[in-house]
Amino acid sequence: MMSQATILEATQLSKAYGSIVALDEATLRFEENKIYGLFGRNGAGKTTLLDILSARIFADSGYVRCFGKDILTNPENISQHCCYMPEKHYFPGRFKVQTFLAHASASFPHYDEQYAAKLCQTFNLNVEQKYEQLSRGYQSIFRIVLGLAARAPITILDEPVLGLDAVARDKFYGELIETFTQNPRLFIVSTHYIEESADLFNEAIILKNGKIIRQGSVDEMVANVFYVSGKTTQVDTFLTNQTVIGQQVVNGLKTAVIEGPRPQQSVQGLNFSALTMQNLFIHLTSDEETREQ
Amino acid sequence: MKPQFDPDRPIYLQIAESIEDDILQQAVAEEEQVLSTNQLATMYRINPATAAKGLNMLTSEGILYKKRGIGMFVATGAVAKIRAKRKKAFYDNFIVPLLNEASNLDISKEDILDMLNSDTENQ
Repeated sequence: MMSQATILEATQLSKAYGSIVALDEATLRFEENKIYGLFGRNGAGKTTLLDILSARIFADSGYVRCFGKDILTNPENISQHCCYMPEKHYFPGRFKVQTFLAHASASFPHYDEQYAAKLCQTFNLNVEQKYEQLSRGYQSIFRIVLGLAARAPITILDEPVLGLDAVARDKFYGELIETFTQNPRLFIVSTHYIEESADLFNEAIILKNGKIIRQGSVDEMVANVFYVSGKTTQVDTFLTNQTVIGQQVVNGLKTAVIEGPRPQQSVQGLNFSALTMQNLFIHLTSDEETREQ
Repeated sequence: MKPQFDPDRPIYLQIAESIEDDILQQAVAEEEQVLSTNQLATMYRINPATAAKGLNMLTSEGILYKKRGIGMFVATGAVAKIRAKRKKAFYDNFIVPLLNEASNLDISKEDILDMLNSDTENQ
């Protein structure tokens, strides 16, 4: 695999709102032509991180470099090359969808008008409607249309499928991959739909309480964790010297989540099985599990 | 269309196997073109790097080959290669789980042989 250039990097970003720490020394690197999935529970700091990466708000400490330069001293790198579609946005509601689309090239220099029109058709977005008349789902679709058609070298989508039905979500995943293969660029996509979207991403980032607790390839992350289950006594013997990230006992039977490669050899009385990205996410971010440890 | 993947195995392997299945079942013949990385990625809603990994595996095994600027094609002799490879894995993938489940259910080897011999009656 060719090594790719890091075009966006965050170093030791922290941000607090009063006594609430939203982001805690987050350090991340994003390479060109990759799709990153950002996962975190509500309030984990996803939006704060994306807001800072796109210079929408400022960190209390730490810095962001885009194409090698600090975004505070070189804001044009972000304003010209980054398209951020935040979950909360402030489009004036009285304007029609087509009015926004007609003026999009002013904000996004790489904006592709034909592609936007095609996306409106794909998602049945009525461009005659005023923004404020759009349902929650169609507001998301509107952001998807702008975000994909902007064709920005750095595209950041905060919860793009919020409020979308299963068909529209599937269409979005298809469109994301298609536009990515035709015009490779950096995507950062936050979502709660981990199960159905994990396979789209080159890399996943897991945020918990403002801290980045995992970053890496989805394949490697799930390959490096497994379930073991069986009689509690037998499972406990197996757990010696293993990194356990979760466990549960029901009626003398124990299931534990272990970090490390899954054993190739079967062990009498023990059952090994794989976790999905979503399983792993739940084990890493559930508060109950933390309390048990 | 997005078929469900088995969470227990890497997706690139499952992509490679589905192409092998198509070749074995003659949905694609030798010297015919298979779907590209981008087509596979869009169809299955997976990252193109994953699709490429599946295709590269089949290329390195000589089951597919690349025609520069055109795409990926099924190599002559691919069917025989896939059969040889899968026959080797047949014992591990099918016989071992069969014997494990049989032991869970207290089914003897003789019972299994009887089932195999009476297979035509059941169908």
